[in-house]
Amino acid sequence: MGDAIITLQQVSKEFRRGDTVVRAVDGVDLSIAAGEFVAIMGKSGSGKSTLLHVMSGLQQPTSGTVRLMGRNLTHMTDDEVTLLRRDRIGFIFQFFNLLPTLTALENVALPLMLARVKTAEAEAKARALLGTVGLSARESHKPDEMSGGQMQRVAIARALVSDPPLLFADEPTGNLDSISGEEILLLLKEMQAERKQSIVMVTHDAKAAAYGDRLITMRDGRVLVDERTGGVAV
Amino acid sequence: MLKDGLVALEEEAEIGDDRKVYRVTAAGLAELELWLQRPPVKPRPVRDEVFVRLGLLMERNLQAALDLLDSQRRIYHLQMADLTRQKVALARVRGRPANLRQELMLDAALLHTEADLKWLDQCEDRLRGGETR
Repeated sequence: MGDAIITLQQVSKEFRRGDTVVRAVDGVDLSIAAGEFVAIMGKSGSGKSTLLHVMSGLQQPTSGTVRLMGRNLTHMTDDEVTLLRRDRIGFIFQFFNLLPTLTALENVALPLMLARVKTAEAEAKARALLGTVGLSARESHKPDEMSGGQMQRVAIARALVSDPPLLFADEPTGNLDSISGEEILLLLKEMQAERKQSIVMVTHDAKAAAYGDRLITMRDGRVLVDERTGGVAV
Repeated sequence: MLKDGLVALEEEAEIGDDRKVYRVTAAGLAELELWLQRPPVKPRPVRDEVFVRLGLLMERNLQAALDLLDSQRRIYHLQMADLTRQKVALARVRGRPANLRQELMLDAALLHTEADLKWLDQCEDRLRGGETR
């Protein structure tokens, strides 16, 4: 087992809905090793998305401890968590979340610009990553001039631009046709192999989940099944 | 086929034992071409092994039936992971059209297994619905 990149201890997350309290995540213990590609499945309402939000520091748990790359999220300020997310974690979303007024190159360079990297350096890095995801020809295209699959490639390039050791993907193929979706998953698989990145992907698509090395199934806020489905033991 | 004129006996072929050699006639080739282009009409069998066990189990022991669904689901996920590994390997040595046939087969196996998984989910919803109804 390699070093854990994420550790959850007795993590719960509750939401208030009217007069009732909903426990979306219920006492989850989990450890994810560096270099693992983990797929999280479950029906809607199973707590899989909340689990991803809590794991990635987007939401604080109601109780329990989340450790991300050796740091205890519960002991960090919002600003510290934001910086950790910006510099060390890549995010990929179902609806790509690209800025519509920026070109592909500018979208990819954005995280570096926000981190005050010099423009020339940021763009050189962004250019190289657009090449990696096979979109060199689209550098100056805006999102509405690209297909869904291309937009998701741009989003992956953006997620990778700060060389994060950890990627979170929330239904990355949910808005793509099956062949484009497959290409995105192959790309993620390649990134995991070449850059030794850890990937945590939430999906309701069993075909997408099959690309992971480990499958976690959530039900009623708890981990129902957690098992290795492939890859070499980390 | 001989009676229909689709094949003809090859008189000159000598094999020594009682085996006969036939050749395809022009009519036979035409029929083959038609057959290739005709979609098969036989439906896929529904009653698989899981269905048989589930059908017998659900009335005797509901919990055992639900457990069977869970363990079957895990098996299907493992099978899909295995098929996907083959797919990833294939993508790394992409050379068409030699690999295309294999890719189509893997697609079929994956999508059928996905359908099986969805069916298990629906079985579960129906069985659990029965618990409270």
